Amino acid sequence: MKRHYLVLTALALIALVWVAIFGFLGTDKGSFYGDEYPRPAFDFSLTDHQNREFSLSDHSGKVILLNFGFTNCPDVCPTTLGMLGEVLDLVGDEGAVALFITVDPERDTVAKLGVYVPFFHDRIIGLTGSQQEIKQVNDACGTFYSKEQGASESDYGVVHSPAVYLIDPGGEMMLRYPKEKLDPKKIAGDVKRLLL
Amino acid sequence: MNVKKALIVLAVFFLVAPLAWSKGEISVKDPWVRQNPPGASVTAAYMVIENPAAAGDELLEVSCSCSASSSLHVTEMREDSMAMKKVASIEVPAGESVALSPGGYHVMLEGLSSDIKESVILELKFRSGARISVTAPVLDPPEATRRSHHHH
Ligand SMILES: [Cu+2]
Repeated sequence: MKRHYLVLTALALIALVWVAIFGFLGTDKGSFYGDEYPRPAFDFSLTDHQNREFSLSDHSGKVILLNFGFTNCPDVCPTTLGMLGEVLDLVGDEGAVALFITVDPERDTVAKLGVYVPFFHDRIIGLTGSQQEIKQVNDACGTFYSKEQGASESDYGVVHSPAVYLIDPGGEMMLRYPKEKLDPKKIAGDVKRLLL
Repeated sequence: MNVKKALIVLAVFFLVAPLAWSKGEISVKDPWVRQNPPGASVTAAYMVIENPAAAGDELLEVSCSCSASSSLHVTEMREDSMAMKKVASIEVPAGESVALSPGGYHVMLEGLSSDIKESVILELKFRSGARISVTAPVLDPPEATRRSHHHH
Protein backbone atom coordinates (compact mmCIF):
# COMPACT_ATOMS: atom_id res chain seq x y z
CA MET A 1 0.00 0.00 0.00
CA LYS A 2 2.66 2.48 1.05
CA ARG A 3 4.68 1.60 -2.05
CA HIS A 4 1.74 2.55 -4.22
CA TYR A 5 1.50 5.96 -2.58
CA LEU A 6 5.19 6.49 -3.14
CA VAL A 7 4.95 5.60 -6.82
CA LEU A 8 1.91 7.81 -7.23
CA THR A 9 3.59 10.72 -5.48
CA ALA A 10 6.68 10.29 -7.63
CA LEU A 11 4.57 10.23 -10.80
CA ALA A 12 2.65 13.30 -9.69
CA LEU A 13 5.92 15.12 -9.02
CA ILE A 14 7.30 14.18 -12.45
CA ALA A 15 4.07 15.38 -14.04
CA LEU A 16 4.32 18.68 -12.15
CA VAL A 17 7.89 19.23 -13.30
CA TRP A 18 6.87 18.55 -16.92
CA VAL A 19 3.95 20.94 -16.71
CA ALA A 20 6.18 23.57 -15.12
CA ILE A 21 8.87 23.25 -17.83
CA PHE A 22 6.53 23.17 -20.81
CA GLY A 23 4.14 25.67 -19.34
CA PHE A 24 7.03 28.09 -18.90
CA LEU A 25 8.46 27.50 -22.37
CA GLY A 26 4.96 27.76 -23.76
CA THR A 27 4.21 31.18 -22.30
CA ASP A 28 7.66 32.51 -23.04
CA LYS A 29 8.18 31.33 -26.61
CA GLY A 30 4.75 30.66 -27.93
CA SER A 31 3.48 34.16 -27.33
CA PHE A 32 5.05 35.71 -30.43
CA TYR A 33 3.54 34.76 -33.75
CA GLY A 34 6.71 35.44 -35.80
CA ASP A 35 9.57 32.98 -35.94
CA GLU A 36 12.39 33.87 -33.57
CA TYR A 37 15.23 35.21 -35.67
CA PRO A 38 18.15 36.56 -33.64
CA ARG A 39 20.94 38.05 -35.78
CA PRO A 40 24.09 40.03 -35.02
CA ALA A 41 23.33 43.71 -34.46
CA PHE A 42 23.56 45.92 -37.53
CA ASP A 43 22.84 49.41 -38.77
CA PHE A 44 22.42 50.95 -42.20
CA SER A 45 21.89 54.29 -43.87
CA LEU A 46 19.84 54.53 -47.06
CA THR A 47 17.88 57.25 -48.89
CA ASP A 48 14.14 57.42 -48.26
CA HIS A 49 11.41 58.12 -50.82
CA GLN A 50 11.47 61.81 -49.91
CA ASN A 51 15.20 61.98 -50.59
CA ARG A 52 16.21 62.18 -46.93
CA GLU A 53 18.80 60.03 -45.21
CA PHE A 54 17.37 57.17 -43.19
CA SER A 55 19.49 55.46 -40.53
CA LEU A 56 18.18 52.48 -38.66
CA SER A 57 19.84 53.68 -35.45
CA ASP A 58 17.83 56.95 -35.56
CA HIS A 59 14.67 54.92 -35.00
CA SER A 60 15.46 53.00 -31.83
CA GLY A 61 12.48 52.81 -29.50
CA LYS A 62 10.28 51.88 -32.46
CA VAL A 63 9.27 48.51 -33.84
CA ILE A 64 10.54 48.24 -37.41
CA LEU A 65 9.01 45.94 -39.99
CA LEU A 66 11.42 45.49 -42.88
CA ASN A 67 10.62 44.07 -46.27
CA PHE A 68 12.41 43.83 -49.64
CA GLY A 69 10.84 44.30 -53.06
CA PHE A 70 10.73 46.35 -56.25
CA THR A 71 8.09 48.45 -57.96
CA ASN A 72 7.96 46.40 -61.16
CA CYS A 73 6.77 43.36 -59.18
CA PRO A 74 3.05 42.75 -59.78
CA ASP A 75 2.17 39.98 -57.36
CA VAL A 76 4.12 39.44 -54.15
CA CYS A 77 5.43 42.96 -53.40
CA PRO A 78 2.08 44.77 -53.57
CA THR A 79 0.46 41.98 -51.57
CA THR A 80 3.03 42.38 -48.80
CA LEU A 81 2.85 46.19 -48.89
CA GLY A 82 -0.94 46.09 -48.59
CA MET A 83 -0.54 43.71 -45.67
CA LEU A 84 1.99 46.03 -43.98
CA GLY A 85 -0.38 48.98 -44.47
CA GLU A 86 -3.03 47.02 -42.63
CA VAL A 87 -0.60 46.19 -39.80
CA LEU A 88 0.16 49.93 -39.38
CA ASP A 89 -3.56 50.71 -39.28
CA LEU A 90 -4.17 48.00 -36.71
CA VAL A 91 -1.29 49.17 -34.53
CA GLY A 92 -2.53 52.74 -34.99
CA ASP A 93 0.44 54.31 -33.26
CA GLU A 94 3.60 56.13 -34.35
CA GLY A 95 5.65 53.48 -32.58
CA ALA A 96 5.77 51.23 -35.61
CA VAL A 97 7.51 51.88 -38.93
CA ALA A 98 7.40 49.74 -42.06
CA LEU A 99 10.30 49.82 -44.52
CA PHE A 100 10.19 48.82 -48.17
CA ILE A 101 13.78 48.38 -49.34
CA THR A 102 14.13 48.16 -53.11
CA VAL A 103 16.22 45.34 -54.57
CA ASP A 104 16.11 47.13 -57.94
CA PRO A 105 17.88 50.45 -57.25
CA GLU A 106 18.63 50.98 -60.96
CA ARG A 107 14.97 51.39 -61.86
CA ASP A 108 13.54 52.34 -58.46
CA THR A 109 14.67 55.93 -58.16
CA VAL A 110 13.72 58.16 -55.25
CA ALA A 111 11.07 59.79 -57.46
CA LYS A 112 9.58 56.44 -58.42
CA LEU A 113 9.44 55.23 -54.81
CA GLY A 114 8.00 58.61 -53.85
CA VAL A 115 4.80 57.99 -55.78
CA TYR A 116 4.66 54.22 -55.37
CA VAL A 117 5.10 53.65 -51.63
CA PRO A 118 2.56 56.18 -50.22
CA PHE A 119 -0.15 54.48 -52.31
CA PHE A 120 -0.10 51.66 -49.73
CA HIS A 121 0.23 53.68 -46.53
CA ASP A 122 1.59 57.09 -45.56
CA ARG A 123 3.75 55.50 -42.86
CA ILE A 124 5.57 53.03 -45.10
CA ILE A 125 9.02 54.34 -45.95
CA GLY A 126 10.56 53.42 -49.30
CA LEU A 127 14.36 53.10 -49.25
CA THR A 128 17.00 52.94 -51.95
CA GLY A 129 20.78 53.03 -52.10
CA SER A 130 23.68 51.57 -54.06
CA GLN A 131 23.73 47.88 -54.99
CA GLN A 132 26.50 47.48 -52.42
CA GLU A 133 24.44 49.08 -49.62
CA ILE A 134 21.35 47.04 -50.44
CA LYS A 135 23.37 43.85 -50.56
CA GLN A 136 24.73 44.66 -47.09
CA VAL A 137 21.22 44.98 -45.66
CA ASN A 138 20.25 41.67 -47.29
CA ASP A 139 23.34 40.02 -45.79
CA ALA A 140 22.52 41.43 -42.36
CA CYS A 141 19.03 39.95 -42.65
CA GLY A 142 20.49 36.62 -43.74
CA THR A 143 18.99 36.72 -47.22
CA PHE A 144 19.93 37.58 -50.80
CA TYR A 145 18.54 38.94 -54.06
CA SER A 146 19.50 38.42 -57.68
CA LYS A 147 18.50 39.82 -61.03
CA GLU A 148 16.85 37.46 -63.49
CA GLN A 149 17.03 38.41 -67.12
CA GLY A 150 13.82 38.37 -69.12
CA ALA A 151 13.31 38.68 -72.86
CA SER A 152 15.24 41.93 -73.27
CA GLU A 153 17.86 44.04 -71.51
CA SER A 154 15.23 46.20 -69.80
CA ASP A 155 12.98 43.27 -69.01
CA TYR A 156 14.12 41.62 -65.83
CA GLY A 157 12.80 40.51 -62.49
CA VAL A 158 14.51 40.38 -59.13
CA VAL A 159 14.40 37.22 -57.06
CA HIS A 160 14.21 38.27 -53.41
CA SER A 161 13.03 37.32 -49.93
CA PRO A 162 9.25 37.60 -49.44
CA ALA A 163 9.66 37.64 -45.65
CA VAL A 164 8.99 40.51 -43.26
CA TYR A 165 11.67 41.05 -40.61
CA LEU A 166 10.90 42.60 -37.24
CA ILE A 167 13.49 44.73 -35.44
CA ASP A 168 12.61 45.33 -31.80
CA PRO A 169 12.64 48.75 -30.04
CA GLY A 170 16.18 48.02 -28.85
CA GLY A 171 17.34 47.88 -32.49
CA GLU A 172 17.87 44.10 -32.52
CA MET A 173 16.62 41.77 -35.21
CA MET A 174 14.07 39.62 -33.40
CA LEU A 175 11.39 37.96 -35.53
CA ARG A 176 10.93 36.80 -39.09
CA TYR A 177 7.61 36.28 -40.85
CA PRO A 178 7.98 33.90 -43.80
CA LYS A 179 5.58 34.05 -46.76
CA GLU A 180 2.99 31.81 -45.10
CA LYS A 181 2.94 33.92 -41.93
CA LEU A 182 2.04 37.29 -43.46
CA ASP A 183 -1.12 37.68 -41.41
CA PRO A 184 -1.73 41.37 -40.59
CA LYS A 185 -3.75 40.80 -37.40
CA LYS A 186 -1.22 38.44 -35.87
CA ILE A 187 1.77 40.57 -36.86
CA ALA A 188 0.02 43.62 -35.38
CA GLY A 189 -0.44 41.57 -32.18
CA ASP A 190 3.33 41.01 -31.93
CA VAL A 191 4.05 44.70 -32.59
CA LYS A 192 1.56 45.87 -29.94
CA ARG A 193 3.07 43.51 -27.38
CA LEU A 194 6.51 44.95 -28.04
CA LEU A 195 5.23 48.52 -27.70
CA LEU A 196 3.59 47.91 -24.31
CA MET B 1 -47.25 4.23 -82.19
CA ASN B 2 -43.58 3.30 -82.39
CA VAL B 3 -42.82 6.41 -84.37
CA LYS B 4 -44.62 8.51 -81.79
CA LYS B 5 -42.58 6.93 -78.98
CA ALA B 6 -39.37 7.50 -80.85
CA LEU B 7 -40.32 11.13 -81.41
CA ILE B 8 -41.03 11.62 -77.72
CA VAL B 9 -37.68 10.09 -76.78
CA LEU B 10 -35.94 12.33 -79.30
CA ALA B 11 -37.77 15.41 -78.06
CA VAL B 12 -36.85 14.64 -74.46
CA PHE B 13 -33.23 14.06 -75.50
CA PHE B 14 -32.97 17.40 -77.25
CA LEU B 15 -34.62 19.19 -74.34
CA VAL B 16 -32.43 17.64 -71.66
CA ALA B 17 -29.07 17.32 -73.41
CA PRO B 18 -28.29 21.07 -73.59
CA LEU B 19 -28.97 21.33 -69.86
CA ALA B 20 -26.44 18.58 -69.19
CA TRP B 21 -23.89 20.21 -71.48
CA SER B 22 -24.25 23.68 -70.06
CA LYS B 23 -23.71 22.27 -66.57
CA GLY B 24 -20.39 20.86 -67.73
CA GLU B 25 -18.91 24.05 -69.09
CA ILE B 26 -15.74 25.63 -67.81
CA SER B 27 -16.37 28.91 -65.98
CA VAL B 28 -14.61 31.76 -64.20
CA LYS B 29 -15.42 32.90 -60.66
CA ASP B 30 -14.33 35.96 -58.65
CA PRO B 31 -12.03 37.61 -61.19
CA TRP B 32 -10.17 40.74 -60.01
CA VAL B 33 -7.27 42.91 -60.99
CA ARG B 34 -4.94 44.65 -58.60
CA GLN B 35 -4.96 48.43 -58.98
CA ASN B 36 -1.47 49.30 -60.17
CA PRO B 37 0.24 51.79 -57.83
CA PRO B 38 1.19 55.14 -59.38
CA GLY B 39 4.28 54.77 -61.54
CA ALA B 40 3.92 51.00 -61.94
CA SER B 41 2.99 49.82 -65.42
CA VAL B 42 2.59 46.18 -64.40
CA THR B 43 -0.05 44.44 -62.36
CA ALA B 44 -1.68 41.05 -61.90
CA ALA B 45 -5.11 39.53 -62.49
CA TYR B 46 -6.57 36.71 -60.38
CA MET B 47 -9.59 34.40 -60.56
CA VAL B 48 -10.86 30.89 -59.89
CA ILE B 49 -11.43 28.61 -62.89
CA GLU B 50 -13.95 25.83 -62.41
CA ASN B 51 -14.10 22.86 -64.71
CA PRO B 52 -17.08 20.60 -63.96
CA ALA B 53 -16.71 18.89 -67.34
CA ALA B 54 -15.73 15.25 -67.80
CA ALA B 55 -12.60 16.26 -69.72
CA GLY B 56 -9.65 18.26 -68.47
CA ASP B 57 -8.79 21.58 -70.10
CA GLU B 58 -5.92 24.03 -70.14
CA LEU B 59 -5.87 27.80 -69.87
CA LEU B 60 -3.65 29.08 -72.67
CA GLU B 61 -4.01 32.82 -72.57
CA VAL B 62 -5.68 35.69 -70.74
CA SER B 63 -5.58 38.97 -72.56
CA CYS B 64 -6.74 42.45 -71.72
CA SER B 65 -7.11 45.49 -73.92
CA CYS B 66 -5.80 47.42 -70.90
CA SER B 67 -2.22 46.14 -71.34
CA ALA B 68 0.33 45.86 -74.13
CA SER B 69 1.08 42.26 -73.21
CA SER B 70 0.00 39.55 -70.84
CA SER B 71 1.45 36.24 -69.72
CA LEU B 72 0.69 33.43 -67.32
CA HIS B 73 3.01 33.32 -64.33
CA VAL B 74 3.59 31.37 -61.18
CA THR B 75 5.33 32.74 -58.11
CA GLU B 76 7.44 30.09 -56.46
CA MET B 77 9.85 29.76 -53.58
CA ARG B 78 13.49 29.17 -54.37
CA GLU B 79 15.44 28.54 -51.17
CA ASP B 80 14.29 31.43 -49.01
CA SER B 81 13.52 33.71 -51.96
CA MET B 82 10.60 34.28 -54.24
CA ALA B 83 10.78 34.08 -58.02
CA MET B 84 8.26 34.58 -60.81
CA LYS B 85 8.28 32.12 -63.68
CA LYS B 86 6.41 32.17 -66.97
CA VAL B 87 4.22 29.13 -67.63
CA ALA B 88 2.94 28.14 -71.08
CA SER B 89 -0.47 27.10 -69.75
CA ILE B 90 -2.37 26.29 -66.58
CA GLU B 91 -4.04 22.91 -66.35
CA VAL B 92 -7.62 22.68 -65.11
CA PRO B 93 -8.32 18.97 -64.51
CA ALA B 94 -11.78 17.51 -65.04
CA GLY B 95 -14.09 18.12 -62.12
CA GLU B 96 -11.66 20.47 -60.39
CA SER B 97 -11.07 24.15 -59.91
CA VAL B 98 -7.81 26.05 -60.01
CA ALA B 99 -7.19 29.33 -58.20
CA LEU B 100 -5.06 32.12 -59.60
CA SER B 101 -4.29 34.00 -56.38
CA PRO B 102 -1.57 36.22 -54.83
CA GLY B 103 1.65 34.32 -54.28
CA GLY B 104 0.68 31.59 -56.76
CA TYR B 105 -0.56 31.54 -60.34
CA HIS B 106 -1.43 34.94 -61.80
CA VAL B 107 -1.91 36.73 -65.06
CA MET B 108 0.84 39.29 -65.42
CA LEU B 109 -0.33 42.38 -67.29
CA GLU B 110 2.52 44.48 -68.63
CA GLY B 111 2.55 47.85 -70.31
CA LEU B 112 -0.70 49.06 -68.80
CA SER B 113 -2.47 51.88 -70.54
CA SER B 114 -2.08 54.91 -68.29
CA ASP B 115 -4.83 54.16 -65.81
CA ILE B 116 -7.08 51.24 -65.17
CA LYS B 117 -10.19 52.10 -63.18
CA GLU B 118 -13.21 50.32 -61.78
CA SER B 119 -13.09 47.27 -64.03
CA VAL B 120 -11.40 45.73 -67.05
CA ILE B 121 -12.45 42.97 -69.44
CA LEU B 122 -10.37 39.80 -69.52
CA GLU B 123 -10.50 37.39 -72.45
CA LEU B 124 -9.62 33.78 -71.66
CA LYS B 125 -8.61 31.20 -74.24
CA PHE B 126 -8.59 27.45 -73.51
CA ARG B 127 -7.05 24.42 -75.24
CA SER B 128 -10.54 23.02 -75.88
CA GLY B 129 -11.35 26.08 -77.95
CA ALA B 130 -13.54 27.56 -75.24
CA ARG B 131 -13.34 31.32 -74.94
CA ILE B 132 -14.65 33.25 -71.97
CA SER B 133 -14.90 36.96 -71.49
CA VAL B 134 -15.23 38.29 -67.93
CA THR B 135 -15.43 41.69 -66.29
CA ALA B 136 -12.89 41.96 -63.47
CA PRO B 137 -13.14 44.70 -60.84
CA VAL B 138 -9.97 46.72 -60.20
CA LEU B 139 -9.23 46.62 -56.46
CA ASP B 140 -7.32 49.03 -54.20
CA PRO B 141 -4.98 47.83 -51.41
CA PRO B 142 -7.48 47.27 -48.55
CA GLU B 143 -9.80 45.17 -50.66
CA ALA B 144 -6.93 43.44 -52.46
CA THR B 145 -5.38 42.57 -49.08
CA ARG B 146 -8.66 41.09 -47.90
CA ARG B 147 -8.88 38.94 -51.03
CA SER B 148 -5.26 37.86 -50.68
CA HIS B 149 -6.01 36.28 -47.33
CA HIS B 150 -9.06 34.52 -48.61
CA HIS B 151 -7.12 31.64 -50.05
CA HIS B 152 -4.75 30.98 -47.16
CU1 LIG C 1 4.24 37.79 -62.65
